[in-house]
Order: sequence, then structure tokens, then C-alpha cells
Amino acid sequence: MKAPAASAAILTVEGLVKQYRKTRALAGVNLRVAPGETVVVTGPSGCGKSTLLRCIVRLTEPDAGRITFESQDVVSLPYRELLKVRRKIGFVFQRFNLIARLSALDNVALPLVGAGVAADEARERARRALERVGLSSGVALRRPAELSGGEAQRVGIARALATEPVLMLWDEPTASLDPILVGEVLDVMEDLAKAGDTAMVIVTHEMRFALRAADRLVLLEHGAVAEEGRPEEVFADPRSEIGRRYRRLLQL
Amino acid sequence: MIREGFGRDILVALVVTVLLGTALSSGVARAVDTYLGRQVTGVLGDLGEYDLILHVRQDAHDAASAEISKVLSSSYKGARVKEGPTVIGRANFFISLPDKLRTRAGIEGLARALGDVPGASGVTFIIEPRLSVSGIEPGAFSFLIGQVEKVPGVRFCFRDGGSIAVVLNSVADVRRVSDAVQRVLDRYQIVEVRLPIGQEVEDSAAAGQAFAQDLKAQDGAGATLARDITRRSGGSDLQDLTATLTEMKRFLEYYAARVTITLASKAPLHPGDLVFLEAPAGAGAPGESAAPSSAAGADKGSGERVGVLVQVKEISGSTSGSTATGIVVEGDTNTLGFKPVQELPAHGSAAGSTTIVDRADAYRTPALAAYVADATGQPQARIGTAYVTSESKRLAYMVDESVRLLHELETFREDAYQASLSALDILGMYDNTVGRLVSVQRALEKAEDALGASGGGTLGLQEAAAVEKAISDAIGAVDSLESALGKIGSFESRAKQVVSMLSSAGELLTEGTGTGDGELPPTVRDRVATLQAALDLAGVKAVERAKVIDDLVRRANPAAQELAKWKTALAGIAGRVSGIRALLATGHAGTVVSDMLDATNAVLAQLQDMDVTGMQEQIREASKDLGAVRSIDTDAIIRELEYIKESLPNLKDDEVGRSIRLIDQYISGEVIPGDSLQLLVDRGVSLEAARNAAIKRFGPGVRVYVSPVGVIEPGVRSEVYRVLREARSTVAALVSILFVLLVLILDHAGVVSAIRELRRERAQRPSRRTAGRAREALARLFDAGAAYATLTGAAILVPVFVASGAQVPYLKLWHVALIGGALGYLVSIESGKISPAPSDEITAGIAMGLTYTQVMREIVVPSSRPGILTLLNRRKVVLKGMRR
Repeated sequence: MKAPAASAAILTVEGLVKQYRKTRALAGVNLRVAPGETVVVTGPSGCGKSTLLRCIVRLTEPDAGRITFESQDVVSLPYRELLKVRRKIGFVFQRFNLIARLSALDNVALPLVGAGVAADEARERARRALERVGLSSGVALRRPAELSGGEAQRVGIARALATEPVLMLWDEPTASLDPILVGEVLDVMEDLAKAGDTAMVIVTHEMRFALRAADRLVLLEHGAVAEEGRPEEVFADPRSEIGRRYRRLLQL
Repeated sequence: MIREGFGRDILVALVVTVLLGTALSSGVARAVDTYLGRQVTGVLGDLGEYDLILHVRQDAHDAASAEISKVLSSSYKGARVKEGPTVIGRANFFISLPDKLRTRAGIEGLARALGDVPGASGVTFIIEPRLSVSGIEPGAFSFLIGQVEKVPGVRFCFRDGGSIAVVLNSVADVRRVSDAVQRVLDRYQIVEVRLPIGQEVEDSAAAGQAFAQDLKAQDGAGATLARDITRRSGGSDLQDLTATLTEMKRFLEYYAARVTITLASKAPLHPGDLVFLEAPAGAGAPGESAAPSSAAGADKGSGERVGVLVQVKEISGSTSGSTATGIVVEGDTNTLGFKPVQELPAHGSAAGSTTIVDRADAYRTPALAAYVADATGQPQARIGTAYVTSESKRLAYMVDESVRLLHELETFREDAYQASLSALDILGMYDNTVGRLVSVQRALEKAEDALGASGGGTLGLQEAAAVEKAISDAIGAVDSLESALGKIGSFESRAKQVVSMLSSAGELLTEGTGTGDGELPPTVRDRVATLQAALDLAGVKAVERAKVIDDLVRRANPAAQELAKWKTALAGIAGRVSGIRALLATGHAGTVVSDMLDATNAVLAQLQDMDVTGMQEQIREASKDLGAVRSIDTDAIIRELEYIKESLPNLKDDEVGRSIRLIDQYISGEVIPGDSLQLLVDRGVSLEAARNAAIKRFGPGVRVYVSPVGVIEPGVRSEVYRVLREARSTVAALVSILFVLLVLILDHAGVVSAIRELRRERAQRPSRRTAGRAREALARLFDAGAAYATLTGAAILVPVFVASGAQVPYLKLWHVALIGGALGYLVSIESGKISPAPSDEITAGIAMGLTYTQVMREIVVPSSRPGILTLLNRRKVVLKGMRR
């Protein structure tokens, strides 16, 4: 496990707050992610996990707090700079969010094209990304509607990887998959985590994956961090009730 | 997004959309216009193809055709002529001028030149596009033409009969020019001053000028323009009508039943009031039943009073016994009990078979009770006594009696002629009788001589026989003479009777034609005068003939008496003629002969005093005159009288009275004017001010009217084309609106959804600043997507409208912008359903660092509904996607 040094954190979230009308999704969340570190964020539904990820790339604007990525204050970044940040952060969505009209290959190539890479080169790099997630060339030309869930999500992963991001954000990547396909994706995720090239913040309920692959586990409850630490440490001695409940689930 | 480059994409799409929309709406509108235009052309012919039609008598067709060609080729090069259909004996030549000659001078000159074409019978102008301004006073033409020609869009104007033809530059200008010309016309008006009949202006031109100055100078009139445009030459139809009506009124007044009311007291009666005259009980016209009529105030079977209504015309005198005159306006005068007139006995009939009434009272009613009547004709208080004289009945009677007398004349003149012949016979007989008596005298003298020679008292047989024969012959002649004289004597009385009848006929004619207030029509009057002359002549001649015969008889009668005495004496002497011989055979022959001779000498002395020759001459002259009288064509005169009777109006007395009243209304100046003045003035002159000025100058009886200077009459084709243009514009407008709606749905609904999605992804941090909060509040009502759609709708619709010539009546351009904006807003409301944004894809695109433009180009637009934006976006898309 790589311990994050405060000064070496690639991502720092401090006191992040997000209010949705009457619901306080984030109530001052703090998070640090080191380069190459895999952080699993979990918690009950509505605890703010997805909101945290969306705020990091400002898909959702936080109400308060600070987000620092590579020493840049993301919250106050102007639009053009924000784009650059986003290109360095890969995002994998729960529902894959693939572009329906594009083939798997073009889906993966899209962020490269968006970054200014020529289409041909982008496709070449996309092909490599697809291979990296274990998708054969036969899948490359299929449209998302023609892919299985696992394939589609792996295309999504390949798309997020295509730009060689320094940080990847995973928003419950297996939530939409049936149990058989979950394994496919988790395998890819585990491989990537083990490779350690990219810092990852993974929102998931897959605790066993967290135990296997995560460097740190962050347990959120009611928009705040309830538990944080190495997964085995958290589950071994949870300090919060939510931690204890999760331990019981794990034991089941 | 706008600044990045997608704004440019939108702009390009809008431009292309506008171009496409313009082409589409223009194209559809043009197609509709072409179709409808073809239908119109089929009915009205091509627009402006020809400029005028020359109508020519069919019989002059060939000569006209040659002359037209000659005129056009010599003075109007480039003009075209086409022969149209021949209608009711008129050939029609359609002529078109080249554009450079399509001017006022060209058109008017051509019409004048064509007027000399053989058989030409008129020109109809069909130049188009044009308007007509009609109802122009003749004096206002040149002024108005000058004003109208200044209107933009007017090519030129010319006078077309009583209208101004306004030729336009383009049929598209019809409405605009029409409005502008109307504004010109509205600046002016015509003030007409009408003087009552009988009031004339000595110097009309000076009066017109002076009145114009009055209008300019008068306070309140405020005329800045006042121009005398009165037409002063030639008579007018109205004047002819006035003259005719005046003549008609004169005749009707002659013909109307005359009512004379003797007012019992100071009755409050005025000219124009109604008076009810009650019919006497059981009265009716001679020979007619006295049934109740539909007279005013009467109701059939209701038992109400029967009578007539009279309108008072004049009242003379102001104290009791004053007289009012009037005319019958309602009711049947036959119920009033007119008296019959004296009838002269017909020839051979018993004299005087009817009640004798003084002819002065012919067809005059007995005294009738007179009551003032209310407006409904109901009798009120009694005011006096009235008489009604029916002139129509008198005139009819005059004609009938004259006819009857002329028939008598027929019989008389034959008698007269025969009488003159008889008179000549009598004179012949007279001579013969005298000759016979001379023979008797000689025979007696011879016998006396014979007796003297024989010294005896007995005459020889031979001499006695001679005497007897002479006396017998003489007595026969005397008997014949007596008989003839007796016949003439009876003729004499007959002649006297007829003379009297002729005289009466002449008096009837005089009375029947000369006593009325009005006059008989000239033709009737002349005929009656001729008849009077004929009857006078016949009467004079009859009188003369009667005198001559009378004279004859007067002279012959004493002689006849003498002859009778002689005959008696001889008879007394001889007892019988046949006894004379016996008597002469006695011894007293000398005494008998001597007595006979004395008697014969005595009668001869009487007879020879008569100037038989002179009388024969007179009778011969009389015969000639009577022959002339015989030649009078009484049948013709009778026919004339019948014609007079036929010519009389078949009107009842009340109808005559109402007709007179009606004509009075017209010729009093209320409808038909006397002299008049027309002035062209500006609108600032009020009717009141003009009336005051007119009264001041011309007196209180004038009437003043104001009227428009003219009325615009758009040509049928211009109007139809204007309607077609409006239809075309409306079609273009409809197509534009539909097109914009379609474009908004296909192209921009997706953009609106994406904008909303992107905005949702962006700053949702509640603003702490007031301006920010206000923006947020406004955004909730009218967010960026709605704003985009509204602006886009307006931005497309307005230029499409303008470029395609679309128009909707009463809609201005800002209304159009409003409509476009409203369409856009409506689409934005439903954009989520019409073209939902691919939220997940947009989120992914943003998350992966795509710009908003890239998101729109690569994700939103390609996934939107097919449209112009999608089509244009294809070249912007980097990753084209797979083709199906």
C-alpha cells in the first residue's frame, strides 16, 4: 500500500459541502488521494458518494469547500483550465454513458479527439485501450447497443483510460451489471489498481474488492466521512456504527 | 458554447434555414399565385396586355382595320393590334402601346387619332394596372390630375370620360397608391350652392369668384383653397326634367278637380292643411250608384263618413266668408254628387229629355260640408261649405257632346245641300209658274180680243180650250211651287235648329278648354282650336245657307200666297177649272175672262217683282258653299275629338291632386335645383361656414351641400390581383410560420434540451448577490433554453417573412417577431419531449473534457432529429459514426 504523503497528494478535497434543496449531500468531506493510490469510497445510498465524485470534476458544483488537483484549485478554475483538468481525470459511470451513435472504438477515441488528437491516432490509441481492458478487436466496431453490459462498461473504462489520466473516478461501475459481468469489470479494476499507474477513487459497494484492491477505504455517512483507513483496519475495528454494520455485512 | 464556435454553427444554420425557408415559402406562394393568376387570366385576360379597345361598326370593319394599321404604323411604332370578337354589330380592336408610348400624351393622342377611323363608335380604356377616380366635377379634373400624379407609384393620369384613370407603375402598388390617392382626395371637397327655381344669378362667373373669396375670408370657413369649377355651358338633363315637370303640372292643374271652400268663420286654416268634404247622402255621379267609396275617413261597411280629402292651396281673405281653394288628394269624387249638364236634343228625337241645369254649373257638386282634418284624414271641426268642380268630367263631356253634334251635322249638311238644290228647283218652278201665268194672261187676252171682235158673251170652243189648258197648266205649276216651298219651309226650321246646335258645340268647346287654371297640352289645344274653327265655319255656313233659304222662302211665300189667292179666285170664278170652258161658252164669257185676266195680271205683277235671277245666283253660290261644307271631313274631326278624349289622363281626381303635390315638391328646389355653383375647396371648410357664406351672398332660400371630390374605384383586375397578392403574401406567411415551427422542432428543440442539461451541470451555487439572485429567479421563469428558442424563432421567422414577401393583414414586423418568439418558447416548453437531450452522454462528454461545442457537435446534434442543423453538423463531426 502506498501511503499518501500530504504534499504528494494528487487530489485533495477539503471541507466539501453540497446542498440539494433540503438535502445536504456533502457535509464537509475531506479526502486525499496520492498518485497511484486506489481509494474506495463506500457508504449507504444517498450518503454523497456520487456527489463527491461529480464535484471533483465539477460535474456538480460544490457549495463550499476546496478541491485541489495537481495543486490547482479546481473549484475556481476557469472553464478552459477545467477542461484540461477533466482530460486528466478519467470517469467511469455507473450506466456506462457511452455515446450510442459511436462504435466502441470511437467511444474510446472520443476523449482523445476532444483533446485534439487526430482521429486516426485517437482510434489507434483507443484500440490499445480496448485491448488493455481485454476487449478484442471484434468488439471495437460494435455499437454500445450491441455490447453486453460487461463489454459496455469495459469500453467505458477504456474510454476513461484512453487519455492516460492520472486520476480515475469510478462511480459504482458494477452497479448496473449482473453478477457474472460484475466479475469481469472488477477484474479489470483490480488489474488497474495493482498496476498502480493511476490513482483511482472508486465508489462501490463491492467490499471484497475493496479488501483486495483498495489502498484505503473511506466510509461516508450523511455526507461526512465516518471511517477512513486501510480496508482491513476499518473492518477490523470500525469506530462508527456504520462501520460495524458494514463489517457485519462483510462477515455475511 | 456560443463563443467557442457552436454559436457560429448556429448562425450558419440560421442563415441556411432562412434561405431555405424563404425559398420554400416564396416557392409555395408563387405556385399558388401562378395557379390563381392563371385562373384570373382565363377570366380577365392577361394583365396589361392591351391598353384600349376601339369599337367599330361592323359594316366599316375593313376600312377601319386598314386605317388603324395606318395610324399605328405612322405615329405609334411598336403598337400592336389584335381583333377581338364582334358583339352586337360592333367589331372590337384591342390595341397595345409600347412601353415608351404608354404615357398620358400617348394614350390620349391615340384615342383621338382612332376617333377618325371610319365607323369608330367609341374607345374603352383597359390599360393596367390602374385605379379609377370617379364622380369628378368637370371643373376639377385638371387640378386633381395634377395632385394625383405626384403620388409615388403613379405613372400618369388621364381623363376617361367622367373619371380620372390613374395608371400605376406596378400592380403591387395598388393598395399603397390607392391609400395615397385617397389621402389626396380627402384633402379636398366640393361645395355646391343651389338656388331655388326662379332665382338666377346674372353673372354666374363673377358670383362664383365672389363666393370663393367669401369662403376664404369668412371666419370659421378657413378655406385655403376655394376654386370656382361651375359648369356653365349647355343645358342639363335636370333642367329638361324640370321643364317637363312644370308643363306636366300646368296640364294637371287644368285637369284637377277644383275645390272652393267658403270658410264660415276665422277658421285656423293654412295652406297645406287637410280638409274633409263630406259626400251628400245617397249621392253619386249621374248614372252611377252612390256606393260608399274608399274615400278618406271612410271604412267599408263601418258606417263612417264618406267623402274626400282636400289639401288647401290658397286662402284669400282673413275674415268670415274668406275662401280657400285646394285640390283633392284622397277619395273618390264620384261620391260627391256631380250635377249633369243640359243636353241638346238630338235630331229627330224629343227635345230636352234630361233635367236642365245651367251649363255654368256643369259637373259641379252641390254644397258640401267641409271639416278640417287631422294628419290621418279624420274630420274634426266644421269650417265651412265647399263646391267641387270636376274639370276632367267637363272636358270629357265636351268631347262627347261635340261628337254627337258632329253626327248631327252630318245629317244636316246633306239636308242643306238637298235644300239648296230644292231651292234652285223652286226657282225653276217659279219661272215656269210665271211662264204659265203669262200663258194664261195671253190666252185670256186673246180670248178677250176674240170676245170683243164677236161682240158676244160666248167664247169659241177653240179659244175656251186654250184658256182652260193654260189655266190648268198654271194651276199645276202653282201646286208644285206650293209643295216645294212647303218643304223648304220645314228645312228652314230644321236648319235653324242645327245652327243652334253647332253654336252650342262651339260654346262647349270654348268653355271646355278655356276655363281652367292650367292649360291643355299644346297638341290638344291645337286640335280643339281646329275643331272650333271647323264648327264655326260650319255654323257660319249653315247660318248663311239658312239665311239664303230663309230669304228665298220669305220672298217666295208672299208670291205663293198671291198664287194661292189667284187660284182661289179662279176657282171661285169657275168653281172648277174644268168648268171654265163651259163658263166661257155661256153668254158671260167676257166678264169671266175679264175677271180672270185681272186676277192673273195682279199675281203676275207680284211675281215678276221677284229677282229670280238674282236669287238663282245666290242659291247657286249657296250650293257651292254647301258643297264645301259637305267636304268638311267630319269623320276626321270626330276622330280628332276621340283622340283628345283618349289623350286625357286616365287619372282619378285624387290621383291628379297627389301628382300635383308631388311635382310641387320636386320643383320647389328641394330636389331639382335652379341655378347652382360648384366650388372646389379644401377640407377645412365646414358645411356650416359654407352655408352661412352662401346665405349671406345669395339669400336665405339657397341650399348648400358638400360632397367628396371623387371616389376611388379600383379596376376589377387590379382589385383581383391585389387580392391575389394578399393571398400570396398570406400563403407565404403561413408557409413561413409552419416552416419555422418545423425547424424549431427538428433542429433546435435538441439544442434547447442540451442547453438546459449543460446549464444544469454548471453553476448551481446559489448566488449571494442580489443581481445574481434576480438572475436566478428570472432563469427559473425564462431559462437559457427558452431564451435561445425564443430568439431563434424570431430570428428565423422575421427574415423569412421579409425575404419571401409574406404578409398578414394588420400584422407588423414586430408582431411577426413576437409570433416567431412565441413559437420558439412553446417549442422550448416541450423540448424535453420533442428532442430529449442524451443526459448520460452529455455528462460523459463533459466529464471527459469535451468543450460544450464538442459536446453539441459530437454528441447532441448528431443524436437530434434530422434537420438542417444535423445536416450542416456533419462536416463538423470528427467521429462520423457508423452508417446503418
